[in-house]
Amino acid sequence: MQIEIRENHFLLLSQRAIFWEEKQTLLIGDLHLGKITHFRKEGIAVPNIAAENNFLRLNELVQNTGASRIIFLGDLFHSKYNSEWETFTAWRNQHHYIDMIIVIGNHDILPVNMFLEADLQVFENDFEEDGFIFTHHPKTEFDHSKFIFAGHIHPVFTSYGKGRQSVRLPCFVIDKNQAIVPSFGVFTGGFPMDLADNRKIYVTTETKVFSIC
Amino acid sequence: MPDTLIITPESLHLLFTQKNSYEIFKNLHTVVVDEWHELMGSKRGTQTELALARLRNMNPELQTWGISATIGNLDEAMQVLLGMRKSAEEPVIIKAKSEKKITVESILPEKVETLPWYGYMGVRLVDKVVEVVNKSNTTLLFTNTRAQSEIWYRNIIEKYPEFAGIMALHHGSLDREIRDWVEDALHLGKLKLVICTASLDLGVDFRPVETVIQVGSPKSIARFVQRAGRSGHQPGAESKIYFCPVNSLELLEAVSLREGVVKNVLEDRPPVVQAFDVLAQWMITLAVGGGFEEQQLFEEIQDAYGYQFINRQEWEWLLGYITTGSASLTVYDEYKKVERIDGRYVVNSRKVALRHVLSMGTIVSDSVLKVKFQHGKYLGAVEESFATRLKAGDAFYFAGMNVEFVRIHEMTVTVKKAEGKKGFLIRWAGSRMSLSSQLSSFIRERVANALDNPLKEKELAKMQPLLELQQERSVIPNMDELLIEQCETREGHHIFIFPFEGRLVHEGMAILMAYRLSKIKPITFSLAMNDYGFELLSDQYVDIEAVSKEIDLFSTKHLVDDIYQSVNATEMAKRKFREIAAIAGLMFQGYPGKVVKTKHLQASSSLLFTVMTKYENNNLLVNQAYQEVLTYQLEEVRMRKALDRIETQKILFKKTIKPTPFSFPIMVDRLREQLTSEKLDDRIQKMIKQYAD
Repeated sequence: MQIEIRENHFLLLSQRAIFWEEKQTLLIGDLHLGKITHFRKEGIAVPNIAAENNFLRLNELVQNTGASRIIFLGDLFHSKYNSEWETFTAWRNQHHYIDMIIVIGNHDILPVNMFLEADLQVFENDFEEDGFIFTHHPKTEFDHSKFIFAGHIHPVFTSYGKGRQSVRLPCFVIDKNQAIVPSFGVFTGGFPMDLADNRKIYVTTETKVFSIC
Repeated sequence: MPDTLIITPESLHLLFTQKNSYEIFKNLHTVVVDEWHELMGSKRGTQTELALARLRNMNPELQTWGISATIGNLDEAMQVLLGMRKSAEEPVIIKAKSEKKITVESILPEKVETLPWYGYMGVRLVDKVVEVVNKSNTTLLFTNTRAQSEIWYRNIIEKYPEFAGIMALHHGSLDREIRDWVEDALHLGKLKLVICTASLDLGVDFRPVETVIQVGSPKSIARFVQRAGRSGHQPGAESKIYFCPVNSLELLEAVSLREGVVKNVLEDRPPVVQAFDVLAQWMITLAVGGGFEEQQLFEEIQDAYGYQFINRQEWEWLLGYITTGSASLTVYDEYKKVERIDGRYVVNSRKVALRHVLSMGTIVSDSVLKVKFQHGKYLGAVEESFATRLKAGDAFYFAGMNVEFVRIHEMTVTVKKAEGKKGFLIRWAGSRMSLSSQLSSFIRERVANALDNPLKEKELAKMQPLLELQQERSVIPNMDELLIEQCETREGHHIFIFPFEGRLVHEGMAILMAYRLSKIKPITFSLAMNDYGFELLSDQYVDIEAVSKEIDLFSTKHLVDDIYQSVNATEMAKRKFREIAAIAGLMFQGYPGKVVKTKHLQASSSLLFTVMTKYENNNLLVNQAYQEVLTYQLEEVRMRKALDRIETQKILFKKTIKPTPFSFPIMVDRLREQLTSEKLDDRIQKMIKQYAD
């Protein structure tokens, strides 16, 4: 689904990412890679299949959009170093022709030089371009000349139907000055969002994005 | 070793992780299993069976005694206790000559309107209850949930402040020290009233207790009798129990409970069979404690009732599981636990042994946080899911006090006394009990002759206005009739079906009906149920009368298939699997003080379930999860019987303009499940359209 923000065009994708058309750039929030391996090391049996799913979806995105750049909105890697980092760097090498940027999130505790070695551009706080700010934590105070893209909270929305039905799905939240992307990782929780004035919510199933008024 | 050892099944198993367990037990003469009915029917019972089989193997002369007062299937209970190879001497059942005399009395409202149509807290009769309490020296007031006991405590202390100091609270989440104090004070006769849950219905001998009050239906006659037995706890003494209904329909249960007690109908405790998770744990336990030889152990466990039918194939799967992990997990080193050395199965890794010892047992609880005052006194424990939602300054009722949340740190919730704030109630997880089949058949009879014979029992006489309203808006079914009501409200289209079989059977039936109806066209149902009936709610109208002429809704044909086909069975099995995976040692529950968050464990058990289902055809533990859903969650055997009965019944279809006294309590039930045959995308589309309208 395409939306327009400050005369730029953004595609909201059912794989839980945003594609910025003017800049051929993918925006991806909260992958939390490494979390699964981290759990397994703690003796909790999580099959690796969940981790594979993340990479399958990443490949699908890169192919479908033909993106030339990816901005990770923080929490790319959930843990201290483990073998899943190697999987990520191998994936990164396969896609060496794509520029990748990361703004550091609260879970990104790996030393910065590891991101650099993996050929990522690193921004400790905000990355800014053409009046758009890309960051991890959503902001509470706004400079109205700028528009913010953030992650961190893993927004979900529950929609209710007649007959006491309900469906809870990850969502994009677009406010006047800020957009929050859903978490990309499969192994993460969710923070429930409410409707509000000047806010658009878009829920996403695995195949489609829907606009909730 | 001491001459006498008093021990739980868990600690007994722990002794078998020691290398010298043979030395400890070889001269053991007698085992006495007290309250056998409490163990049998649970996995702790299975643990006991396994340990007994081993002890008998070590010493064939071993004597075994079982003690129980409230069990229906005595012969089976004996067989389970003594194992499949009968001992040299014939077993005997010794029954007490004197019948225990139990008097049952209902606490009745002045008018039926005093009681709500639904709900389970029931504090409206608090004055009547206090009247009863004042008549005797010491009273135990049993409630069905911990939250309910907190509410009753609050309500009594607010209305009758004179109870301060002579009333106490006792439930499973309170700190051991507090509970010990209450038990001691009871024994010394210092307390006039103790409000408690099942935590007090076992074992301890409270001689001074004169009166027992049960608030809300105990759902089983045996459980009711067990609680009644807490009063008049001397030979020859009479037990007196009062039943306080919490909603108007429970007046029906009051009559049925009394009838059950008079006729001395006690429920069976069906033993657990084929619990492969417990067996896997036992095998690792023995491997830690010096190892086992597989053929010898295979023969030994067949002596246990629960594993009499185990076959070689299943056994070999288990051996594979403990040595390499199951087929889908073999690649991970984490799951290699037991090694085979010179034909013996042993655990050599100290890490594996330590982890195993730390996570033994069959009780898998939600993870809990300790609650303590700022100055250090421990009060008890609350569930993590509750504690993590608290903000500083929030007040809640706990241990009979109003406390204010300060902070959570290192698995401890610190609180202080809340001044002038109104607290809210803790919710403790825990499943709702379901009506036993014995009790439900009494209730069906009660319902059927309630109108013909209203004055026979005073409880039914009280209910008269309500029953008349049911008759006026719909109908009261006879024994050979099944009632189906349909009505439309702002919420959507409701179908209510009333088999009076208990909530577990109704859950299964609701899934079955919803699945069979959803095969006809894409539709979403939200399901709700209580002990009397169940509801299918949808945004579309279904002409149930016409449909039931076309397809055989209540047939037992393809019963299990149809249940498995519905997504709900998979979801239920997934949830059951969490417990199985923990018992079988698939998931480590964490070192003491470094507890892994339950939420994470939940996520990982469901992933494990998905992977094992996908990559392994015959995983015994996954199969066990489905089997447990059918047997325990949906009570398949009872469901079949109920469906067979329904096929002989005449169905009464009633369209009602308003909800009826029977349907209203189900309608307001907030625990719901959904069953859908619509595509997710289509459902969202429809919902969004409704927002726009």
